[in-house]
Amino acid sequence: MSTGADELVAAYLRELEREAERLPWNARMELLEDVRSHIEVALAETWPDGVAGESGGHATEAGDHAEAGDHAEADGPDDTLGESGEDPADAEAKSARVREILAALGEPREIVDSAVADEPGATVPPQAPPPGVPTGPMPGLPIPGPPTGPMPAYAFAPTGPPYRLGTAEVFAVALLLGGVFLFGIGWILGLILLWASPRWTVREKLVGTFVLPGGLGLVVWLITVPTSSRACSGDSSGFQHCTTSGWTLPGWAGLAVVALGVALPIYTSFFLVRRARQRAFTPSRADRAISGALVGFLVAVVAVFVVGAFAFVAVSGSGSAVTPSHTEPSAVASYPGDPVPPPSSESESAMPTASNFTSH
Amino acid sequence: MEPGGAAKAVSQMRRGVLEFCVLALLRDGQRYGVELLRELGSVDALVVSEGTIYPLLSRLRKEQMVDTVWQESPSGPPRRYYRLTEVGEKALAEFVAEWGRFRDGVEHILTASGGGQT
Repeated sequence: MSTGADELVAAYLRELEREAERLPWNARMELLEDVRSHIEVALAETWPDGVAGESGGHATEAGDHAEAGDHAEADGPDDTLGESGEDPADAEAKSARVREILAALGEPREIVDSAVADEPGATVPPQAPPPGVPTGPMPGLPIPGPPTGPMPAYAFAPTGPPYRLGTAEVFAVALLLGGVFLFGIGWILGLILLWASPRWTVREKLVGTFVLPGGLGLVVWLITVPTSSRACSGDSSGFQHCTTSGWTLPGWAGLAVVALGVALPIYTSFFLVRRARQRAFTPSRADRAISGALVGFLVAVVAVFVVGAFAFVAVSGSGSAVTPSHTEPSAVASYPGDPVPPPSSESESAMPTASNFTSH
Repeated sequence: MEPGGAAKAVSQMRRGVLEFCVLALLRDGQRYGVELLRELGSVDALVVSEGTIYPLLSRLRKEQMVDTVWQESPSGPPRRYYRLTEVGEKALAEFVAEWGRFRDGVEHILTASGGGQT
């Protein structure tokens, strides 16, 4: 029995991670990502490229298997190396290949040593920002006026991670979190953007999809469903028939579900943003499409307003030419027996007692 | 001279030269890490531990000699492609000129001194 390819890679990466604690956070993350990606790519290329010479006749056999399952299995780091359902000889060949790849990569200590030599900020304790990273204005804040501060211009150049998010990624995360409130389709759009982006791995995309489906909408749905399913109908005899379908949770469990339902999607958003920022910013086609669509939408909104304003001016200018089918707002509000209660008086009278208690 | 001294000198030279070999490999277009290593591996004794190329590439990116793009691949995981920037091109051109003078000079001295090292 040989050690599984999975475990070999995992052990190697763990050791690399331990060694890389000498590096600043950014450099550590980048190195780990690069090496992990190297192993994945090298493994994925092994059999399609046909290095039959290395493992003798067996490699060609394994090559046929690997090619057939290539598209399905080669994306996810965890699934790629899995050997469930393969015959032991294939697993053996894969483990052997992984050993070769890892041996060629070299000792983790050696790699980190060379990273330390290459990294001027490597001696600073971990978690401290490296000197090259601008600690000045936050990305979201506008910089007022011309930059008069001592910050050199190159400090703003997009160099190391974290990289900025593309429009597609921003929309993906936002729509996954709250898109379900946009007529329900927002979340689907977010899902499409998520899976279209090259800045997330399949595993991260799966997290984005399933934690939680519908984003914050799921918890809202869970809260509203048990109460709203209590349907009452009055019949002609004056009885009210009420049916309560669905289910209700006991208080503590409901609270836990709500807390999870809120926390998990928010955590996923942070997770996705953090992972995407570890990968270089590349304006994707989806990115340009969204920017285009946004501009188009804004232009359309402005156009509608302008046309509406012109129409209004034209209609009110011609005076009596108002179409009779036009519904006045007063017609809606003038239903008898439906007086609009002054909302402020009641709520204000109720509030002071509550706030008096809480303020002590 | 002790043998460790020669090995150290070669190792330092390799370190210094490797980054320009990487830049030179990117002259004809973008490549990803595994691809670069395949090319470098065909030259004996240029890369000892493949993993060390990634800190090097990271530094080149910070120095804006290369920039990087993640691209999906028709088969397998996405690849991180590296490509030469204008800064990198300039640095490479300077090195190529310097390297010619350096190589000629060293060779001239090594051969003129009649192999006294052996």
